[in-house]
Parts: sequence; C-alpha cells; structure tokens
Amino acid sequence: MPSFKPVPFRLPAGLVEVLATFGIIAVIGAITLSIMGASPVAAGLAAFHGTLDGTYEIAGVVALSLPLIIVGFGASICFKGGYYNLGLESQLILGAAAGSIAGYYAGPLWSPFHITLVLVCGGLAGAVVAAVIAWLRVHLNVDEVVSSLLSNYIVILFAIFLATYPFRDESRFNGAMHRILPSARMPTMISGTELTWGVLFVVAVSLVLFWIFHRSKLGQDWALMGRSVTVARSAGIDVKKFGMMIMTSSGFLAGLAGAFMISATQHRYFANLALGLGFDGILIGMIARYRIPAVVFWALAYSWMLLAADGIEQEVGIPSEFAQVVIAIVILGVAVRLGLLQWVRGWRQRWFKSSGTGSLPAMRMFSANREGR
Amino acid sequence: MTSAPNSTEICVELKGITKRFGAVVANEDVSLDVRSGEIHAIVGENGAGKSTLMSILHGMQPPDSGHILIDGKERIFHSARDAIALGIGMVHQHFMLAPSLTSAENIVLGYEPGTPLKSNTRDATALVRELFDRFDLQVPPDTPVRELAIGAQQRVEILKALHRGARILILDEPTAVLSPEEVETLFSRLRNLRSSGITIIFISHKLREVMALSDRVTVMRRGKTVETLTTSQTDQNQLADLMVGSSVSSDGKPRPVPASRVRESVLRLQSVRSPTRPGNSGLKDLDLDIRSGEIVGIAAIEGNGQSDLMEIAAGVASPSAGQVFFRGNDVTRLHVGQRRALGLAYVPEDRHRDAIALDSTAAETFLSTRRPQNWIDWLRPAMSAADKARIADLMQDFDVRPADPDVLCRSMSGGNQQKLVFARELADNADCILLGQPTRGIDIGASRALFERIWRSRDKGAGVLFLSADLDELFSVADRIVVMFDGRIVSELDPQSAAPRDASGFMTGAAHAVL
Repeated sequence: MPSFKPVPFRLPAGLVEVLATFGIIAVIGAITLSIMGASPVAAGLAAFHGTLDGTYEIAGVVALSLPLIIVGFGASICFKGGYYNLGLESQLILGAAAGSIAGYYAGPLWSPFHITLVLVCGGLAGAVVAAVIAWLRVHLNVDEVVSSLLSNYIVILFAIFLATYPFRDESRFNGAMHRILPSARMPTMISGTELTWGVLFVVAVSLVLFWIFHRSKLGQDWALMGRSVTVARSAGIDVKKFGMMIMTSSGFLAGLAGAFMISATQHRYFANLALGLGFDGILIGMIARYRIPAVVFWALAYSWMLLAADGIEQEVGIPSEFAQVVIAIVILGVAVRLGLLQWVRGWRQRWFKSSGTGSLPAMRMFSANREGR
Repeated sequence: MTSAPNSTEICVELKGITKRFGAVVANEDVSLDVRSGEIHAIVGENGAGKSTLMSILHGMQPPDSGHILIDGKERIFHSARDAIALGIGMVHQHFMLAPSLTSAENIVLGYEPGTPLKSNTRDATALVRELFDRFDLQVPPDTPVRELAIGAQQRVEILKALHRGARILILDEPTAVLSPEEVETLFSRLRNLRSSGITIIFISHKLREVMALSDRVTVMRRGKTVETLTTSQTDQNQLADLMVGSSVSSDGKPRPVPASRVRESVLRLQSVRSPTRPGNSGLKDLDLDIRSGEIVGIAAIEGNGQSDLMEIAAGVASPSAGQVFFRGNDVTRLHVGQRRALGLAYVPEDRHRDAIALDSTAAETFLSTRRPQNWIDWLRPAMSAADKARIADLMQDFDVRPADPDVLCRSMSGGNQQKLVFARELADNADCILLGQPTRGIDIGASRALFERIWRSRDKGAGVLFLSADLDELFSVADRIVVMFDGRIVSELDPQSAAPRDASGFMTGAAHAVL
C-alpha cells in the first residue's frame, strides 16, 4: 500500500534569494533616506512611479537592461571558463565605435541586414581585442587579469581617437561619430520609449546561451576548464584552443553589447559613451554566479535600481548618486551572501551544536582556481 | 620489533564522536584513546572515516556530537589553531607547503620568530637548525621546497608541526607517496620521535607497515571503531578481517597467469626524450614496447622520469624527441582525447590535479572524457537519461559509494573518487590501459577488485602499463617489470623469478654500474 507523506512547503531557493535581496534593499534604503531627512514612504512611491507604474516606465527599465544583459553574459562565460577578462569595458566601447562606423559608412542597406552588419562588426571588434589578450595568455603565459585590465586604457583612448579624428562628425563640437543611417537602427517597439525590437534579439541570445551553458556538451567542458585546467587537459580537451575560444567569445559578446547600444538607442558613438558599463556587466556576472538566467534577472534588477534612484531624485530630491551608494551596499551584500550564510551557520554550530546539515560549498572567490594554470 | 609505550597515561580521548555530511555518516559514535608516547595506528578501508576523525581531532571541522578530551580535559576546537595551541600537529597526505619558499621559511610559516613587524630569516634558520638537532631530522634549510624530494618535503611538514610545539603528531597516510627506502627512513625517524616523548597517530591501510611501526592499532570500519589491539598481540590476517568485516585474508594472492604467446605491440615508445627539470630527470632516449596480453610494471623512485613516461604514453605531454606508436600507427602528434578514441585508457597519477575536478558531479566526471566528433556533438545535450542510468550501473559495478551520479566529487572519499576514475577508464574495454599509481590511497578490497579487472582485460588481449610505488604490489600484479633510473630503463625483471629486493638495487642506481 502506498504511503503518503505530506511534503513540507518550501519556497524555491532562487525565490528566497530574490525576496531577501529586495528586502535588504528596502530596509537599507529606508534607513539611509531617513538619515537624509526624507520620508521612506514617499521615496518608495517615487521609486515605484518612476520604474513600474505603466508601460512607459517598465519599457525604460527593460531598454536599459538589454546591453547589460549581453555584457553580463560575456563576463559570465569567461569567468565560468576560468579566464578573467577585465577588458570587457573597453571591448564594449570599441564594439560601439565599430558598430557606429558600420552603421554610417556601409549602406543604406536592407534594414535587417544592416542591423546584423552593425552587430557583427561590433562583436568582431571586441573579439579581436580579446583574442590578442587570449593569445598572450595561452602562448606566452601573460596573466590576462593584468593585461586585459591595462588594455582598457589603450583601447578606450583608441576608440576616442577614432571619434575625434578619422570618423568625426564635423558638425559637432566634441569627438562624436556620424549618426548611423536609419536602416541600421532597430525599430522602436513601444513608441515614445527607447525599447526596440532588439529585445527579441536579446531573448534569442539568452535562449541559445542557456542551451549551450546549462545543457550542452560544450557548456560542460567549458565549466570543466574553469574547475581545473589540468583535469580538462587529461580529459582530452585542447586547453589552448578552448582558452582562446573562452576569451574571444567573451570579447565578442562585449563588442556585441556596444554595437547593440548604438543600433538600439544611442545611434552614434561619442567619447565617454558607455563608460563603466563593462564593469557593471562584470559585476552582474559575478552576482549571478555565472548562470545565464540569473544574469538576465540581475541585469533587470540593476537597471531597475538605477532608474528608481532617478525617480527618487526627481520627486523627493535625494541625489541619485546617494542612491547609488545604497545600490553598492546591496550589491556587496548579494555578492558575499554565500560567505555570510556560511559564517552565520558556523557560529550557530559553535554555540548551539545543532545537528549539522553540511556546509555550503565555499563561495568561489574571484581568484579561486587560478593557481596551477 | 617495537618497544612498549613508556606510559599508560592517556593523552587523547575521543568519546562518541559523530559527524555527518548531508546523508553520509562519516563517523558514528567513535571512541578512541591514545596513550602518551606511543605510536598508535588507525587502519581502515577507504571511506572508513579515518581522515574525518583526524580532521575533527585537529580542529578543522567540528563534530556533530561527542567529546574531545586532551590530557583528561574536555576541549572544543574552533579551528586548527586551537588544536595546534594544545600541541596537536598534523601532516596531511597532500602536503601543505609553499613550493617557492625555502624549507626554513616553510617550517616557521605563520609562527615566525620575532615581532609581527620585524622577523628575520637568520633567526628562523637558527631556530630551524636547533629543531634539526633536537629531533634528528635533517633537510637543507635554504633550498626551496619545490626542489626537494618527496621524502624531504614530508620531513619539512613534520618539522613544521614540531616547530608549532606539537607533542601529538597525526600522520595521514604518510607512506602513500614514499619509495620503500624512504619509508624505512621515515619509520626510524618516527621511532626516534617516540623516544623523545612525541605521541604519534599513524593513519594507514598498509598492514605490513602498521605491524612494523605501531605499538597499538585501532581498526575502523564504516565510520565506527571496531577494536583497539596491541600490535604485538595481533597479526595482519586478523587486522584485515576486522577491516573488511568478513574473513578475507590479504594473503594468498593468485599469481598472474603469463600470456601463452607474445602478441603484437599495442603501444611502443621509440627513443623518447623529455627535458630534465629540478627534481625530475626527464627521459633519456627511452624505448619501451607494451604488447597485447601483458602487464608491464614500472618500478622507479619518484623523479626518475616515470611520470613523464606516463604522460607521453597517454598523450597529455609531447616528447621533445622520439615517437609513440599505437598498434603500429604513429600517434606522437595525437593528444589524449584522440588516443582515447583509438582505445586507450588512462588513470593519471595525481588524482586531484589530473583526473577529477572536485566541483564536478560524478556524472560530469564520467562524461568529461567523451570527446565530440564534429561540431554538432558539442551542441547536443551533455547527458541523456540513458547515460545517467548507465553511469549509475557502472558506479554500482565498481562499488563507488554513494552510487549516485549527481553527487559532487568533493563529498566523496578519496578512494571512492579513484574508483569512479576506474569506472570511467575501464568501462569501455580499452586495448591499452595506462595506470599511474592506481592504488594510491585506496584500500585492499578496492585494489583487489581493480587487479581482477586488469587481469581479465589482459587475458582478453589488452596491454597494460602499470606504475606503482609499492614493489610488492608490482611483483604480484605485473608480468614483466621494468626498472627506471635517471630517465632510462636500467633493468628488466621477471616477477616469477625475481623478488622486490632485486629491483630496489637498480632503482637507486646502485646496481647501475653492473649493467
């Protein structure tokens, strides 16, 4: 006779994580706002009005998140493979510049083709930079953390040079390229907003990457590279080829994110465009712990926080820079949450000697498993 | 053989220790008492809970329940530092040394003489020299640890523990990495330490060593202590019975049956060279032919080129000169993945470095050697339900515990990890099997099961290359023994007519001149 055991109701772990995070945001936000002398309730309402109250606002959050999602993927896949491409910032910017050039000088063409051309050119520009760094890493053992980080200066200044001299729009004061042709611009999805049909492209990229990294053989070997290069080598993986592929594809995604910005919203590259976006992507990849769906979620959450801060600034008068401090605290909290959990559990065990449930795998620190390569 | 312990005073007492990892019970109600000044051996198969128990005693993890009494006083350890403060030192199976620092620096690391702002090397070296004299343990103090032989590195580990004031020294499988000569040296040094009043807890599953060294021995099985015996009043057979839990004796191994006729070459290395490096002789024009239906054993002391030989034979490293032939075809340019596709199985020497990623699940580890043939294979699902069922069956078959494909390798014991590697490599009936130290850290039962499989594969026509640091094992398993010294093959022995003693002369190069 079958016996029926009541299954205890449990929230899925991901949902708990999400609820806890937003709980923390609400509490820290309320406390800091009170210190600043503003009403947390008014601020909360302002944040809601600014970001979630209506199609226009929600479209704004989504539109802002799209390039972040793509560059977040770039960060995730290279960290997952055990390589630390910190040049995503400049690869994104060079991708934007390359996309901008392709959008103005090539064409006019059939629009879907022209948009594709812009995206591919941007991706390739990022990929070329990353491939150079990868080659130095794989063949000459130059630490890619250092080389990619320092490459940012060179590549960003090169992009600014392109905008200031050879490809400059003479009609503008500062270094800025020409506005891309209409055939290279993504069509608007909701009029009056910055949301374009490019959202479908991002959805497609997400699905493909989800399949590759969470289901396919390629993703499994990719993860093995990140866990142990020597084991990967003994398993028969060509670690040099894989290393090149990991770095280059992350550079491609960064460049793609830059070109996507050009085609979807900015329509031209100019000096200082998208500064910091690559590092935001690295942050998102790390918070999401290199999982594709989590990158989408955290990129959306991140842009929501940015726009909520703007809303609060407009309605309550708290500077949005201050809100960014709150965001930084929240992100720090999220990033160390596993370590915190373990720490709390350790103390509980010490004092209460409760029956152990085993410990969580230690959070993979930024530099974990870098040795031995 | 061994002198009686000079006191019956109990310095370490564990009472009712229980430790669970999720659903796995590593220790259940374990009790143990260790007398001061004795060498106390703890024996048991893989996963019997020896290492977990010792990490609890060394404060690296808290027990779920139970008591730890040191010198009769109950103690709670919050970290290894607490245990060290009470004089409990541990030498891990995998050494915890900084390879680029010198021996002296490693010994004082974390407990340097001087103030936090000012510490100097001269004081450290003087201190270390004093330690050398006091305990009669010598290592070159100014040599970087990576340039020392394994035995010397182990002495650095022991000295490190002694420098921290250890009077109770835990040694986790100390002989697993040593050559026979180094084992002898280690034992005589441990006896010296005992006479200077150090209590030694010695974890092993090699019964011969336990019999030779220890005063008392505690047997563990499946997380519990079975019995504590005085060594002089027991024998290997009784210990083996207690360890395995049934009347399985370790004696009476069947001799291998030599192949009736010598068949074609499976793997041939021709004038293979690899560069000399610190602590490793490399290979110097080595020729070796492994034929179908034979097991070739390699006897060599660490660093005489045998590791290079394995890696070059497997295709993980490429030789600086020379060629490798597989069934007569030149495979020098093929990497290990391509050679596996041709019918090669490879169990790497260093399990954690080369065979298993601890953050992978058992199933991922199993499937990692499957190489896609064309680009579409890369995009196919990594694992089907059928794959998973097959892996579960094979894990059952190779006695991997737990036989769950979704379990993380990190949570398996070392022996079970190794059995998982065997399951992966031997499942496909390869033509050529390369075994690098396959029994390192696994128990008698698992070794026996492995040898049975190897003999069966050999009888079906596989050629086997078998590298082991245990000469007795080599001589009872292999059909032909090659002895390597300084990157060359210096002798070939027939295990039917020769004895392990014959090989050791060649291994040290002493008999080299005769050849």
